[in-house]
Amino acid sequence: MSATLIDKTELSTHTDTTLGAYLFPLIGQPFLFARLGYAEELTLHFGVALEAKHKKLREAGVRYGSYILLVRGSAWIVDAGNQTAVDQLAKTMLQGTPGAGKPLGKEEIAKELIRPGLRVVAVTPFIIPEPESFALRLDLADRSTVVVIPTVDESEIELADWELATPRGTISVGPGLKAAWHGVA
Amino acid sequence: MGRKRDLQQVDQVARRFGLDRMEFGDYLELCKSQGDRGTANDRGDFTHDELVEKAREFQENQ
Repeated sequence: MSATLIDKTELSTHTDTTLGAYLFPLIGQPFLFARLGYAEELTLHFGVALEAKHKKLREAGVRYGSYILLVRGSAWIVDAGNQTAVDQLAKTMLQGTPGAGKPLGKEEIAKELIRPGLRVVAVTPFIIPEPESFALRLDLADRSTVVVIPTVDESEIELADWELATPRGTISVGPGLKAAWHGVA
Repeated sequence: MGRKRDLQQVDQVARRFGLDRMEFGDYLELCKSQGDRGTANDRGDFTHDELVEKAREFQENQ
């Protein structure tokens, strides 16, 4: 696996064409399922469902999408159908906002977050000022949306704000206005 | 909060042992759901030493 750093200036001035190009393959992929994993990390799985490589995970029926959006430690908001779901960070950010959404548990996220089969129609990175970083908006065919919002971290941990894993490699975005492409060898 | 710190620890241990980071994280969640919980916090997350132990276990059970 090789890593290619994508230039900060290039990203901040050509967001649509540069970062968008790495995200483009997600458009048209069907949503499969969502999972709240270790350290409450949300992953959204798209494309074709694949078996886990590890025996114990396979036996437990753990599967992966061929395309996976990993929210990492960022806040997230899912506006799907008649409900809005948020994580604890987004709940704090939106405190006092009418219709701000409710935090969901693992089972609720797995069962009812987004309708399986819905296709991605747009993937839009955009810059937020504080912390200066790339947020992400995902639009699905029924007008459901997923928004990922990087958050300030007190301990300056060098962890990507969000990632998209694809069959050809993974784009890691953040922290800050930077991204790296890790291609599959 | 510590969510990023927890994720970073998992990433670091997975890298050290050459594990698939995502599968290792899901393995940890599977262990927790089966009652094999860590002592880092009330959620049953794992301390760094426990993660290293889990990484060895993950490799042995592949």
